Amino acid sequence: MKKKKMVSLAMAGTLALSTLLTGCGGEGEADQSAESAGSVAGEGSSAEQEPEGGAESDAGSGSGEKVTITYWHIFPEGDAFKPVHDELVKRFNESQDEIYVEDLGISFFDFLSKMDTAIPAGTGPDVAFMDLTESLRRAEAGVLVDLTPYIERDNYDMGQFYGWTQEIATYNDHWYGIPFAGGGRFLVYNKDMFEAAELDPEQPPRTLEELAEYADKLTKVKEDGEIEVLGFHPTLGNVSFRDYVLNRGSVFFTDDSKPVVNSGANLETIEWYVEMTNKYGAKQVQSLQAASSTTGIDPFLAGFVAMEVNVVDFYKKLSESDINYGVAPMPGLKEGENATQGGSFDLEIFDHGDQKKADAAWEFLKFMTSIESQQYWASENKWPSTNQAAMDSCTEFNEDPVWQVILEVMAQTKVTKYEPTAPNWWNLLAPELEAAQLEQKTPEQALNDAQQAIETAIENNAVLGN
Amino acid sequence: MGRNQKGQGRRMKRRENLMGYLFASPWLMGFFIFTLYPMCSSLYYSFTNYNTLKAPKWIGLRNYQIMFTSDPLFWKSIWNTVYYAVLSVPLGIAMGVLIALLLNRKVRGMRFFRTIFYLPTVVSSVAVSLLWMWILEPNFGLLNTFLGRIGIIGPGWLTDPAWSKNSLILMSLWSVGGGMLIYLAALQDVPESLYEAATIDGAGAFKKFFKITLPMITPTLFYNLITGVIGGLQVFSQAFIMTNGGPSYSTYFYGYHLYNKAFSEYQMGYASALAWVLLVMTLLLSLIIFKTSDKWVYYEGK
Repeated sequence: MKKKKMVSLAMAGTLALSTLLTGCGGEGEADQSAESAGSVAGEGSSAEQEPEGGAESDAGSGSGEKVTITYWHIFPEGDAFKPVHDELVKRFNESQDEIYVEDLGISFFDFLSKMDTAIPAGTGPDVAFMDLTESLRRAEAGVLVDLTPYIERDNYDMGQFYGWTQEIATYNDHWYGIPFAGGGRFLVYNKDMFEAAELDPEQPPRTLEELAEYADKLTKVKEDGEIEVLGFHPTLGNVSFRDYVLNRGSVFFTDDSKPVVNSGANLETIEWYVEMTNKYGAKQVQSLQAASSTTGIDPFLAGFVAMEVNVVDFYKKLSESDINYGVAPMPGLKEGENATQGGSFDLEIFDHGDQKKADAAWEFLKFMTSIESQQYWASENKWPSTNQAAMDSCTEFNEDPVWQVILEVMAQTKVTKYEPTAPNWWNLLAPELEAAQLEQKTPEQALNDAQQAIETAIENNAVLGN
Repeated sequence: MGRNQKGQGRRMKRRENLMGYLFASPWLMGFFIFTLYPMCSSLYYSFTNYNTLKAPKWIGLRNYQIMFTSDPLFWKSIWNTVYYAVLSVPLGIAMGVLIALLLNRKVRGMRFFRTIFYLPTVVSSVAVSLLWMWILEPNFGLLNTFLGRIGIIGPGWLTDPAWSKNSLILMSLWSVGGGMLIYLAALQDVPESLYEAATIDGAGAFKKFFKITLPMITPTLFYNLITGVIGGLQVFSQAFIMTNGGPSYSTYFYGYHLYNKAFSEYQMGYASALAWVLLVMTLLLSLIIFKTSDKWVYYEGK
């Protein structure tokens, strides 16, 4: 406990030093953000625009006629994150009088299929709120505007974004999207259940060994075998096998894109995964998974599990629940050595061959990913921004232990990159994992079969000329 | 005058033809734009590598080559689909005939029962799937709760690979109402005089059913068999909603493989090729059934 406090004190100290004392979010911020918005618009004004599009861009900014760009995102009417998102768009539109952003919120479940049909038809928006982990597929296909010239022209500091987002936002050293919001995963735990099991609620498990120990103590089984409370289950929450592999410092592909799914480290991981899956009986957990995926009710929030791994933007739901919760980084093999898989959304500009619109869209991207916008987004929506400079300099986070853990997690997040030769590798691995969990195959057999299937897929892709 | 009349007649006929096409044109346009054109382009795409973002690239027969030589999931999905169709189609027919026989009796309130049995057919397959997920839920689902009462520990219907396909087959029987309605109509077409004659000859109920009823409704059985086989090979939505093709590929049907290739891996070319292979398989099966129909289908007045 002492150790943790010292760590957070030290972190707070460094944060205080690095911060510009801006604070973030909250009231009384309106003035400040209006100011900053002004400066952003100033930067983008016609005076500073390099030729690039030549006459076209001159016409765009000089004539005083507004350039309207369309922007699609995943926050439809009624979405919990919509008000903050709308406010950002509004602020951009009010910050200058050259560009108008016309936005459209589409439910996340329809969003991708709508984009999938709109992109090839050329009827898509100028800017979209996309899944960064898939952006390379679009970059590869040439439907995105290369942002590198803009970044170089404006000296836009891409180093301010988390390293793991940089890793997946670049393709052949070119940028095709600016990370917006996302993060890794953390362990959430029920403090009341900890106390009932005589565990210190301020002392969450730090290692996988401790995790298993705690899980045993927290699990409550009725006499007829029905599970009342599950201490921990590796598949409940928002987590996958990928997280546990990255957590142990292992990978699925080498840096030069060779599959190493059945490596020794991964075998250890799957053995642990299968053991933890079936420890308290598989049937109830399977039905629980099915129930929670149909109803959308989270087992932790429903009070069925004492600990679960979930994405860091689960913070908003946690904060709105009546559960006495705590959060901690994912327990690792050794204390402090841990990681989870990161996911992020980014803003991408689609290439419609219109330089004026692309230029305007770039100004919008800069505004949305600026420190001020990103801080406002994170603190109001409790959904971490991917701008590390924004996250680290938000003094408001210093007093909040949950944000402290999130900041720690964000820095340790890793990614599984898009593999152009086997984009569907996960679809081939997942059923094999299932077979291992159901004890239809030994863990070793399952991984070998997955490796084989992925190798075949790579060969087939080569035959197809992909 | 005669010639004039003839000319007039021809003109009228032409006008009639024109009017005919005009009236049919909404359907014709729909057919050309939404059926024929997509079919032709999917045939073209099946010879290309097409990921929806880049222009399709001609690769000849390579999609087909991969399908038959190095796509293990292709064969797995065929096996699953055939298993499903072979069990669900005959069971569905038997069940449909059985219910139709029951509903063909002259009992009070029969209309009510007919409506009840037909109702599931009207409900969208998504809603039916969601409903059945709860019925088949292993711990507190309706089915296992009932089995528990009589001392049987029910399996994980959808979560156990040994049961998942059978569960979907069981579930498919819920919507035999469509077929039932057609059998019911056929049953009512069987002339009463045949039964009367059989009764006079001293035939029992079983004999009457197998010697009169069944032969008389064979044209309907034939029709339902064909549509059933075609539908069975296209099974998709249950697996998509209820099991995601799992657990461990046990409900990974052909339609699911096709969907997966098209919309999660964006291999439209490959998916189109899969669709054409399915079409050919369906055609072949239908042809075989047609060929055998001479042997067992009885048409009145033939």
